Amino acid sequence: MRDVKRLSIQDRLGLNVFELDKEAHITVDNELCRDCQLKPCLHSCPAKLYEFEEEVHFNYEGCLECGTCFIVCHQMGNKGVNWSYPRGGFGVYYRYG
Amino acid sequence: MVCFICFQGLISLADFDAIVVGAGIAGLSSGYVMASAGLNILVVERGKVPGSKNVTGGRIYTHAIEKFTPELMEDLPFEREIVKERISFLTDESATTLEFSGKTEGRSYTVIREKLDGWLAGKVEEKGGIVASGVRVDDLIREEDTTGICAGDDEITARAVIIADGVNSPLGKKAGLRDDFKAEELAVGVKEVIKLGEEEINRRFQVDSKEGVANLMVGSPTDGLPGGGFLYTNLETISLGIVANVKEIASHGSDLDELLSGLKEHPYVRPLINGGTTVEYSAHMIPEGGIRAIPKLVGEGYLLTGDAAGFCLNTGFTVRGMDFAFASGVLAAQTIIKCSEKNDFSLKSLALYEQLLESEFVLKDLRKFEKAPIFLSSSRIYSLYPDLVNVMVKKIFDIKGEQETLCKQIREAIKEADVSTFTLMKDLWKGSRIL
Ligand SMILES: Cc1cc2nc3c(=O)[nH]c(=O)nc-3n(C[C@H](O)[C@H](O)[C@H](O)COP(=O)(O)OP(=O)(O)OC[C@H]3O[C@@H](n4cnc5c(N)ncnc54)[C@H](O)[C@@H]3O)c2cc1C
Ligand code: SF4
Ligand code: SF4
Repeated sequence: MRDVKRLSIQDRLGLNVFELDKEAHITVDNELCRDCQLKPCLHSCPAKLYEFEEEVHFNYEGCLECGTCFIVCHQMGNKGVNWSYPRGGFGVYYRYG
Repeated sequence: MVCFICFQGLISLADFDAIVVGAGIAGLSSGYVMASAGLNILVVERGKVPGSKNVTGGRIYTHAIEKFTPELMEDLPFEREIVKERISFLTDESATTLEFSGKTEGRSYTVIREKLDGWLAGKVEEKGGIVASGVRVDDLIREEDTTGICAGDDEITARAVIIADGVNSPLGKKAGLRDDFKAEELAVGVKEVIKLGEEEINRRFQVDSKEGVANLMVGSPTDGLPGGGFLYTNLETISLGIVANVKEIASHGSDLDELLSGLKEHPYVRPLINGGTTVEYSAHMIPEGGIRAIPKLVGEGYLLTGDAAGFCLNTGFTVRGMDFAFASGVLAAQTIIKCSEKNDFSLKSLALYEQLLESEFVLKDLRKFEKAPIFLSSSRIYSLYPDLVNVMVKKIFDIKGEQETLCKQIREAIKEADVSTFTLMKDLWKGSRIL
C-alpha cells in the first residue's frame, strides 16, 4: 500500500478549485508592514500566501478566505492588511467543505 | 417591486418581506422556515453555489432539525451516522484512545457542506423562496422602516435583513451589531478531505456503510497549543484536520499546515489514512469565545444568526456550531413571521428573537458553559495531561520483568510528568464542574 505522501502547501492548494478574479480582494500596505515587529501574517495564513523578502509579498490567488490574516494583522500586527471577500462568484470553490 | 398594504392603511414599499445574507446553515434554515410560512424572501450568497464557501469538521447534531423541521430529516444528504465516538490523547509517538461505541439517543451525522447547503437551498426554493448565488452583499441600507442590501450597483429592500454571513461577518459590522471577534476568541481550522473509498472505510473503522466514527485528538496535533485534531468518516472520504486558537498560533509562530502534515504521519493516524488521496484542503475560523463574546443580536431592521453571532460551543469533547446555526436561523425566521403578522418590524418587536434564543438551547447551553473557553485555554490540557495519560497507560501495559502495582505506577507517572497532585486534582475538579 502507498504511504502517506507529505504534501507541500503548493500541492495542497493545487488540489482546490479557484475561480480567479483579476482584482485582488486582499492587499498589503508595506508602509505599515515596515513597523510591524511580529509579522504574524507570515506563518498564520493557512495557505502561506504571505512571504517576506525585503518587504511583504502577498499573493491573493490561493486564498482560502478564512480571515485569519486580517485578525492577526489588525490585532497583533500593524494593520497592513486590507481585507475583503472576493467579488461574488470568485475565489475558492470548495467541492467538499 | 412588490408592495403590500399594512393594517393601519400605511403602504410599505419593500421588495421582500425579508432578505437573508449568506446561504450557510443559519441563512438557509431561516429562509426555509420563512418561505414555508408564505413570506416573500430572498437569500443572497456570495459563493457560486450555496456551500461552495463553507467548511465544517464535521458532524451535525440533528436535534434542532428534528424539532423544528422534522420533514427535512427524510432525505437530508448525510454521509454517515456517528456510532463510534473516540477521544485520543496523543504524544509524538503514542496514543491513548477512549472509545464509546453504540447508539446514542441524540443522533449526529457527518456532512459535506457543498452537498448539504446545496440541498437546503433547493428546499428553500421549493417553498417559493429565492436564492441568488454568486452575489456578494457589499453594504446595508436603512431608511425609515425599510432595510436593504447593496450588491454592486443593485439595491434591494425588505422589512428586515437576517445577517447570516458567518464568523467574519462583514455585514454584522456594517449593521453596527458587532466588532471583530478577538484573536483569543477565535480558532482556525485546516482540513484535508482524503478519499479512501466506502468499503475501505468500513473495513478500517469496523463500521457498516451507513455508520461512522468521530475522533477528536488532543496533545501533539497542535504541538501542545490550545486546540486539537479531528477525524470524521464520510461515506467515501475522511475529513482530517486541526483546529487551534488564533492568538496562540500567531504568538507562537506555529504553522497549521505543517502541523496537519505531522498529524498525517502520526503512528495513530497514518494507518487510518494510508493510501488515501487528498482531494481538498480548506481553512476556516470558528468563534469560540462563548457567551461572553456574543455581540448585539438585534438592531433596527437586523437580526444576527449563526457563526456571525458567535453561536458555537466547544467543550473539548464536543464541537457544535451547525445545530446552533440551524436553530438560530429558525428562531430568527419565527421572529420575522411574528413581526409580519403584527405588521410591526420595530426594534421592540424584533427583540422577540432574543427571548426565543434564551428559551432554547442556543443561549441556555452557551450560558451553562460560560467558563469553558477560559478553562480550555489552560496549556496543561494540551501538553501535560496528554503526556501524563500516555505515560501512565504505557507503564500499566509495559511488562519488562518485575511488575509494579497500579498505584505505584500512577504515582510514578505523576512524578515523571512533574505535575503537582494538587494542580491535577484542582483541574479535574474544575473541569468536571465547568465542562
Ligand atoms: C474546522 C471546523 C470544524 C467544525 N466542526 C464542527 C462540527 O463537527 N460540528 C458542528 O456542528 N460545527 C462544526 N464547526 C462549526 C460550523 O461549521 C459552523 O458553526 C457553521 O458552519 C456555521 O454556519 P453559518 O450558517 O452560521 O455560517 P457559514 O456556514 O459560514 O455561512 C455563511 C455564509 O454567508 C456567505 N456570505 C458571507 N459574506 C457574504 C456576503 N457579503 N454576501 C453574500 N454572502 C455572504 C458565505 O459565503 C457563507 O455561505 C466547525 C467549523 C470549522 C471551521
Ligand atoms: S501582520 Fe499586517 S502589518 Fe504586520 S507584516 Fe503582516 S500584513 Fe504587514
Ligand atoms: S484569508 Fe486566510 S487564506 Fe486568505 S490570505 Fe488571509 S489567512 Fe490566508
